[in-house]
Amino acid sequence: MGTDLSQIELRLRYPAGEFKDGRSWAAVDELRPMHLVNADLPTLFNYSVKNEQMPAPERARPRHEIQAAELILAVSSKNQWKDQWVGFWRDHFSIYGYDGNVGAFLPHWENEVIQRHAFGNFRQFLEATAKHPCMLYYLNNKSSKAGSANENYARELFELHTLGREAYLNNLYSQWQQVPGALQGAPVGYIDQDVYEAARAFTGWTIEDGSSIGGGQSLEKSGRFKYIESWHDNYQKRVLANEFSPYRGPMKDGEQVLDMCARHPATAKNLMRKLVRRMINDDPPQQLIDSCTRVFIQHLNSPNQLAFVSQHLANEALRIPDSLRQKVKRPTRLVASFVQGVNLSFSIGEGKIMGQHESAGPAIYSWVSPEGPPDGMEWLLSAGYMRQRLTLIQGLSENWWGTGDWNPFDGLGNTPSYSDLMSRWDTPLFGKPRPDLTQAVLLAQGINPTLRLRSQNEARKLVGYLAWAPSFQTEAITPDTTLWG
Amino acid sequence: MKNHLRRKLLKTTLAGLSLGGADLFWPAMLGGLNKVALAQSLPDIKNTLVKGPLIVVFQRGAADGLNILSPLDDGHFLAARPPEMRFNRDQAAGSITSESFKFYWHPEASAFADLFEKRQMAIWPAAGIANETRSHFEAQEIIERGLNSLNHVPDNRGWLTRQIQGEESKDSRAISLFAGSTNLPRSMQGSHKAIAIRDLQNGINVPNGQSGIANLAALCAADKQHSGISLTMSTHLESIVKISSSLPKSADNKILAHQTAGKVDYPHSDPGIGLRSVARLIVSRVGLQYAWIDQTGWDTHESQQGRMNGVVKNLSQSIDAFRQDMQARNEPYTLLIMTEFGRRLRSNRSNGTDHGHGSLAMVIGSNLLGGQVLGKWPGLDTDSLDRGVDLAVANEHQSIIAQALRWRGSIV
Repeated sequence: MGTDLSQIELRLRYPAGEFKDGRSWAAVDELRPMHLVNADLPTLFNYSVKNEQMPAPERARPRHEIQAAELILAVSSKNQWKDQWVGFWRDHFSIYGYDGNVGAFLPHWENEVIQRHAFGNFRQFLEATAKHPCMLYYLNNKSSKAGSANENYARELFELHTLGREAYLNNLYSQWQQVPGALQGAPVGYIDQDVYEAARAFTGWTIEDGSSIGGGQSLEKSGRFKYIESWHDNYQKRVLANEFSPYRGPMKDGEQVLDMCARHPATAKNLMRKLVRRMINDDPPQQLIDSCTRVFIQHLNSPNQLAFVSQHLANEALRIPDSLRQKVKRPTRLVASFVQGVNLSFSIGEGKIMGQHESAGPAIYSWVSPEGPPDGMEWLLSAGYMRQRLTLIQGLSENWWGTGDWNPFDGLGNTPSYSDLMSRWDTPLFGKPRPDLTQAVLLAQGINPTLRLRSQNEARKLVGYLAWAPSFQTEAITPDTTLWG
Repeated sequence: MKNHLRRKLLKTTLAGLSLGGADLFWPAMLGGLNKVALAQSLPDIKNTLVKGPLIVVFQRGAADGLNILSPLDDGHFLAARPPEMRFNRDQAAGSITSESFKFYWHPEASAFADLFEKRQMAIWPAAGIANETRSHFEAQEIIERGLNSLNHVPDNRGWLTRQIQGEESKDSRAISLFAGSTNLPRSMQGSHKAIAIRDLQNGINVPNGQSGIANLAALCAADKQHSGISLTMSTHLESIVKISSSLPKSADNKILAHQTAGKVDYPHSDPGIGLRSVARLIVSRVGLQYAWIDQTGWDTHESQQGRMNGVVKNLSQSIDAFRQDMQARNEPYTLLIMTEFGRRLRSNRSNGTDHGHGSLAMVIGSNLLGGQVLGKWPGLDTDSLDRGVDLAVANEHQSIIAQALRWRGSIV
C-alpha cells in the first residue's frame, strides 16, 4: 500500500541461448523494474510456454516479480491479520507457479483472483479461480473435451476447493443413490460418479492460447477465458443427485456445479476448519469452527461474505489469550517481524534475498501438488527449514543480501554495554523484556554483559542471534475487526 | 459381489506371500489393536540381524504402472489406449513373460529390466490399497499412516515413526529416520527426531558454526515460555550436529562431497539427489534404519507420454546409481518403490489418464530373491476391473511392505 511496486528493480540475469527454430538470444544482466506486477492477460500471455518469441529464462520473470512483491508488501504492512487471511486463500486455491504456463499469469491471478475476492463472496471467488488461465492450465481443464473429459479439475474442486475429503464417500458407496440424502436431492457427500459427471460439465472451459480449433479457425492469443461450444459435452448429467437437462446453453452446466459446491454444507465446514486453524492455532476449538460455519452460511449470498467471517473470527480471537493463539511465522512474516522489530530500512536488494527466503519454507506459488503447502508447527519448523530460518534472520541482521541497514545503537550512545544493547532490543522483538533470553545469548558467547561493545557489526550479530529464540518463531496474529471489502 | 470376490483374491495372495504370523509383525497396521502381540514379539526383533536400512521411494501423484510395465499384448489395453498413449513393443527396454501374461518395460526403464534379469528385483504388477479412494491425499495418508481408512485413526503418528519404536537403537542420538526430500513425509509424522534434507552434498550446519550451535542450544534451554517449540528445535539441532560431525571432511575441515563407488553418477534430479543423501548417511554410520524419498511428476492427466519419459528415466537412472554405489561398497539395503494408486485404464482426450486403482510396486535389494513376479495379475477385461474402470488391486501395500521388512530382516 502506497508502494509503487512497478518502480522497484529486481536483477535479471541469464546466459545467451537458442530458440527451438535456431534463432539465438543474447545474454542479459540488468536491473529491471517490476513492470509486470499489474500486467493484463494479453501482456502476460507473451511469457507463457506457447509463445516462441520470448527467451525461456524470461518466462520466470512474472513469478519472480510477484514473489518479491509479496515480501516487499509484507515488510511494510501494518496488518498481519489481513496478510495472513489473504495468504490462507492463496494457499487454499494453490497453484504451481514453476510450471511455465501457470507462472506466466501469476500477477493477474494474484491481483484479480486472490486479492480481489479474499474478502468477497465465496461463490464468485470460486468462479474466478475456475475461469483463470492459471487454474485452467494447472489442473488441465484447458484441454478437457467431450468424449473422455479430463477429471483433474473436477476432482480437486470437490476435494480441495469445496466439500473436502471428509465428504468424499467413495470407499462407502459405489452408486450415487446410496449416498445418504441423495434420493432427497441433498447428498451428504460425493463419490467418483459425481467427479466423472462434474468433469463433463466443465468440458469446453478453456483459454485463448492461439490453438487451432478445426475448420481452419484458431483461437486468439490473449490468455483470456474461452468457452468452446464444440468441445462441450452437452448431454444430460447428474451431479450431487441433481439432474442436468441436455443442451442448457453455454457454461450453464459448469456454473451449476460451482453453485452446488459453494452452497453445500460440507464446504462451509471444510473451509472453516482449515481457516480457523490457520488464523488461530494448530488445534482450534470446535465451537469456534462451528460459529464461523454459521456466519459463512448466513452470508452465502452477500458480496462481503468472507469479510463477515473475517470480522466474526477477529472478534472471537480477541477473547482468546495470545498464549493460546500461537502460530509458527511463515518465512515472509519472519522477515517482516524482524525488519519491523529493529527498524531496518528494508530494500529488496535486487532480489538477492529471495533464494534464502525460499529455502526457509515454501514460497508462495511453489507447492507442486494442489493441496497446497501444509500448515502446522511440525511442517513449518522441520529441521531443514529451521536452519534456513536462522540463516535468514542472521543475514537480514548483518545485511548479507543488501536488504538494508539498521542502527543497533539507536538511543544507546556510542559505546553501550552488551547488557544495554540486549535490553534495548528484546522488547521490540518479543513484545516484552526477556532477560532469560538475552542472558542466554551472552553467556553462550562467553561475553561479560557489563563490558562495552566493540562495533555495530558485533551488535547486529548478537541481536540477530537473539531472534533465533523459539519465542521469536511463533506469534499470535493480531486480530483486525474491520469489515473489509 | 465384486467386492466379495476381490477380498477373496486378496486373502489368497496374502496367504501365498506370508511366511506365517505376518499380522503379528505389522505393528503399524494394527494401530492400537494388537499392542500385546507386538510387545511379545519385541525380543525377537532385537535379536534379528538387520540387513541395512529400508528405503522407500514414493512416486507422488499416482504413477501409471500400466505404462512402466506395459501389457502390450493385451487386447483390452490396446483398445483402451490409442497408439499415442503407449510405446511400441520394439522400443521396450525388456520384457517379462509368464504363463498368463507378458509385460514390456518402458523404453526408459532399462535399469529395471536389468535388475529384474539379474534377480535383484521383485515386482507386484497390481499393487495398491483396498480402500476405494481415488484421492491422492487420502490414499497417501492411508499408506503413510499405516491405516486401512481415515475413519479410524489410532494416533497422530506415521508408520515409520511407529516402526522405530519397536527397533530402538542403543544410541539415543542415532538418525533412525531420514527423508531425502525438502519436506518430511507423513510416514515420519510424530517423530521429533526425523529429519528431512534433500541434498547433503555440502553437509548441513547452522550459521556461524560452533558459535551458532552454542547460541541455539542456550536459547532452547532458556526459552521455557515456549517449551514445545524449544524441544523441537533442540532435537533438530542435535540431529544436525550428529550428521554434520559424521560426514567426511578435508584437511581444512570442509565437508567432502559424496562420490559414488559405482560406474554411473547420481542424476541431478529427484529421486537421485535424495538417494545420494541416503547413501551418504549409510556410509557415515549414523544408525539409519528407514529412509524416504519423494519423486513428484507422476500425476499425468495431460500429455502423459512425454512426461512419463522424463520421470521414468530419472527414477530408473537414480535407482541404478544407488544400486551400483551400494554394491561396490558392499552395503546391504532393501528398497521399495511404490505409489498411492494407479491410473485409469482408458485414457482421456487430453492424452492423459485420470485417477485409478491398482499400480506397480517394486522391491530391490541385496537380500532378496528377485526375478519374480509376486502376486496375481487380475487382468484387464471389464469384469475384472475395479468398479468397472480401473486395474484391480491384487496385493495390498501392507503385505508388500511386510515382505520387504522380512527381506530386510527386521522381522522373522
